[in-house]
Amino acid sequence: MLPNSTRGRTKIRPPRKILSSEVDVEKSWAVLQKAIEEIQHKNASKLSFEELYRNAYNLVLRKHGKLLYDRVEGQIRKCLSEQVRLGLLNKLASSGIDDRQFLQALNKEWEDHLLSMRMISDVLMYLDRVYAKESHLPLIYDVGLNAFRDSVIKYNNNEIGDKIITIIIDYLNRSRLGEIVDKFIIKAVIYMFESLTEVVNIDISSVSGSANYGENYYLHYFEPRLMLSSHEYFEDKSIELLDQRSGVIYIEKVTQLIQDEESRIQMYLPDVSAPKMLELMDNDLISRNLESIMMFETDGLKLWINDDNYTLLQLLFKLITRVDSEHEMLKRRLRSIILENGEEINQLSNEQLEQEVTQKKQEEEKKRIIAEAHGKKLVVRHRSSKEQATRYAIRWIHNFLSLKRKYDLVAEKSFDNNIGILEEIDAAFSTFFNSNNKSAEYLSLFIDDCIRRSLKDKSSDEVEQTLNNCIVVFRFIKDKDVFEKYYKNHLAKRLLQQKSLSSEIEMNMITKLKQEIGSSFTARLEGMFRDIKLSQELSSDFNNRFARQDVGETDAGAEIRQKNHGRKLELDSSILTTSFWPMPINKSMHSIQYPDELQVLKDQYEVFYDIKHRGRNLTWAPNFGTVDIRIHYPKKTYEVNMATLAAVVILKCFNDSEDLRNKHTFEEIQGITQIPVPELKRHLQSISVASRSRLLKKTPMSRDICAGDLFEINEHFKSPQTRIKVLTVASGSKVEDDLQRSETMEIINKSRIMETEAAVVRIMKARRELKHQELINEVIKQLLNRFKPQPSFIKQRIEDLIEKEYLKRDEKDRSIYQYLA
Amino acid sequence: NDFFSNPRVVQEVEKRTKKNSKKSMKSVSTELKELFNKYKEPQLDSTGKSYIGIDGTMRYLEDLGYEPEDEVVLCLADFLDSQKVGDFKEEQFLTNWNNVGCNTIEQMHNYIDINLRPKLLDDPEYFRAIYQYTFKFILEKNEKTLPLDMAQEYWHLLLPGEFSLELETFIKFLHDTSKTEITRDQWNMLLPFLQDYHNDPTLNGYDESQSWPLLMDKFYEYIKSDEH
Repeated sequence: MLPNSTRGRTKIRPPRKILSSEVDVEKSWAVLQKAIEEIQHKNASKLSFEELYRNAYNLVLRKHGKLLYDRVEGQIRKCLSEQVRLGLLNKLASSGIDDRQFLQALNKEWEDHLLSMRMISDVLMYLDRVYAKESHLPLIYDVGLNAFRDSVIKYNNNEIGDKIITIIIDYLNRSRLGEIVDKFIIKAVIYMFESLTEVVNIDISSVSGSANYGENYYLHYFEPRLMLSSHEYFEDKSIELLDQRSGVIYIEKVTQLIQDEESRIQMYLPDVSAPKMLELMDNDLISRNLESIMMFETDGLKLWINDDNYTLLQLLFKLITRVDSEHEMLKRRLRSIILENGEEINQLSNEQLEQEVTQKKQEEEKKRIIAEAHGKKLVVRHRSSKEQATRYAIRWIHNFLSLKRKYDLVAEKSFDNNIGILEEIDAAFSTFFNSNNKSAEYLSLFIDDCIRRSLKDKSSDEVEQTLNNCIVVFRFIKDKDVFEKYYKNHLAKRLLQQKSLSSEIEMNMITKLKQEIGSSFTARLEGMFRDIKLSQELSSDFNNRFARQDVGETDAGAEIRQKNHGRKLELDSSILTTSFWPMPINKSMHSIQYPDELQVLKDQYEVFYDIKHRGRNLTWAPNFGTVDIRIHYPKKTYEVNMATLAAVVILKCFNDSEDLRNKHTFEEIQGITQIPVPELKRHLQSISVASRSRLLKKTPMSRDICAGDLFEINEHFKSPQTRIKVLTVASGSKVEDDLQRSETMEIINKSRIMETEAAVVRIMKARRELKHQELINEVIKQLLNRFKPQPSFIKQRIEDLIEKEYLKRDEKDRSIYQYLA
Repeated sequence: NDFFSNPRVVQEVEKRTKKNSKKSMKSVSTELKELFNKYKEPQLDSTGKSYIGIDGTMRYLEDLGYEPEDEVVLCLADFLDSQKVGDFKEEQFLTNWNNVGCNTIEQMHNYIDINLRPKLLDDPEYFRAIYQYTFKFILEKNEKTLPLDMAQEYWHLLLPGEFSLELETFIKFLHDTSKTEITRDQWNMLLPFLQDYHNDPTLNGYDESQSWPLLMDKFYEYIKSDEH
């Protein structure tokens, strides 16, 4: 540092040769040795610090530092080994002294030793400062500590140390069993262990002789034994708990155990051990066992979720959080349980349906018995299998929602609404939802059922809740376009048949869908809705004003009015924009020959509509409408509501007042009306075969309509009500059968091809040039709200577009596409 | 199509090209014209132009000393901007030969042998251009796709022998999967695909997420699913 000034000082140091010759090494040492012995025997009060200090000073000054240092160390070791150690061994051997007393004695020795060492090192301060420092040796105080370590604790193969460790660990184990142990003595001993440094390097005299900081007897000898014994304890405990085969017991006990152990660690163990102990404990008690415990059939995760055991699930969650912030094992189990639940939903929905059917049957049976008792005959109506399938669909969605709700509650109440877990739950629900290829149709049917009937008389809150639930399910649909297809069909039926409970609910649902996925998805739905609204206005306009004022009433119209006893015919029309509605224009309906009454009305309406909206094209779709007719039977007059096509048959062929006994063959009717054969068969069936509405008599009286069948007015027609509704096949919304489904999927697939090509063209038009992978990603992104196309599907579309010369590959890099304007 | 949307422009363009061609026609030697006349069809084609038809082409090739199935014939067709088999238009015939100063059969033969044939072997870009041109050249009028047997024939004719093993595997795959038509993109992509396939016979490095046509993806699956 400052070598010059040091040298300068050396120069003015007084000569010392006189002193050096005067000192008597042995005499001085004898004084010091005596003093050290006195200190060690706690007789220090008589000693003169000044005299001792001088002796030591002189020895060091005369270069006898090494001698003094070695002898002091020898003296300390001798005392410790011959007196302290033997004393402790004696205590151990004697039966009158228990573990606690032994530890206290040990602690006493330790504290005395520390006190002695403080005094000795005070006396030998000069030795410390000059000799020890220069020679890079430990200070005398540390020599004392090392001596205690070597001559007492570790002496004779760690004889005493082992004993102490055994006692302490025994104490901890006893504390684990609930015994109260002396925490002060344990802490004191552990503190002693920590004070005893350990030299990692075997060569004590080396430069790093003062030992690595932090390496001590505690870490080297005690902690490994502590870990081992704790591991054994945890393992025994978990085996014992596992033997009970109860997840509840395991989780509750382990939670308690961990709590106890944590406070024990805090109370007795130094901070360095705490994380290690916690890790060991978490590993032994949680990581290794918890997953298999969750899988217990009789008392595992599945059951707790089923039972809404939020408290236990929360404990479980907390335990798992300790070992894994990602909760992987919990997620794994949740996923597989949800998938199982999904399977069970199919099962459950079936069972509920069967129950419902049996119940219905019993009720009908009762009714029948009662009716028979009154001498009446009641035809029991059986539900068709399609109706059953529809009920099943509704049940299924209902059960899906309950299950989802259940998991939402569990996540909220027990899993802290952990984002990762919520995502896993949603992913699992999505998997099982989409594994059912009918799920989108089911949801649409469920909504259909809600809007048709189940939301009747429900409060606005309940309605809101139900519709929100529908959106919850909607989010899980992977291919939204499939849902859209069904929803449009079902909505069309509701709107045309006026089966919605209210247009508010309809609109509410559409608005929710719009909020969820955007207006492009709902544009056509809204369009349909608008059509119906406008149609209603148009109809009332037509019926109230136009027709009344006899504007445009033709001569034919006037004639009909006369025939109809002066009453005007009314027409409720639905004007549907072709592109909004799912039904295709049925060209085969064009040639239908309407009866005069309807023809007149149709003509009038066309005139009316042309005035309102010049230039628009009206195409009539009689296959969707109904007609009310009053029919005079010999015994009674009935008001019958029937499909337009059925009315065409009745009015066109059997309304000749001249000859009521008019008979027509199937072929004749077909010839007169020009109704397409399959439609005609269906409607003839509804008015000549169906038991409640046998307006016509069919010969022969078989079930099916065949060529050559004869039809005439059924003069014996009888019905308890005056107003009758002729049911045409399938008026409600039903689950599709496999054939219909494959047709639907084909239509959807066609529109997917179009949508994908449109997306590719749109993207390429904007970007002009794009890498293959980027284009694929971009297309998937754009179609996210519609469906999830496979990359190969997009590839095919790209190739088609190359073929159609919308795109070409870059000359140099075949993975780049270019847009061809 | 342009004619309907913008007739004037199209007409002007036509005028211009006529002028240009007249200008270049002036310098065309009578020798070359007579040579053309020797092979040309007696009738004009549907657009009112003089051309060498199938028969003329056969005679022309014979005089030049080439078999019709010589791949260099495709270079010649490309050189004369022929749009379909057996159709050399007068204008291109005269202009293009004139441009390279060839007036006699011998000069033409030399030009083809010295300039075109070696280029086909040595210049990958030129080879690729000829390969891609071939699809359009041999395509039937109004067709978008090439029948497989036709494609096969020209692959054998054009594609270098080093790919023959890979090509045969590919053709076997096409037959096994009852493929009958080849699109332009599939045709164009086969060349780079065979190059890759040749360098990686196990196709272990093949990646279906890349931009190869689906046909190649299916071929990859075919190779991977079975030992062929």
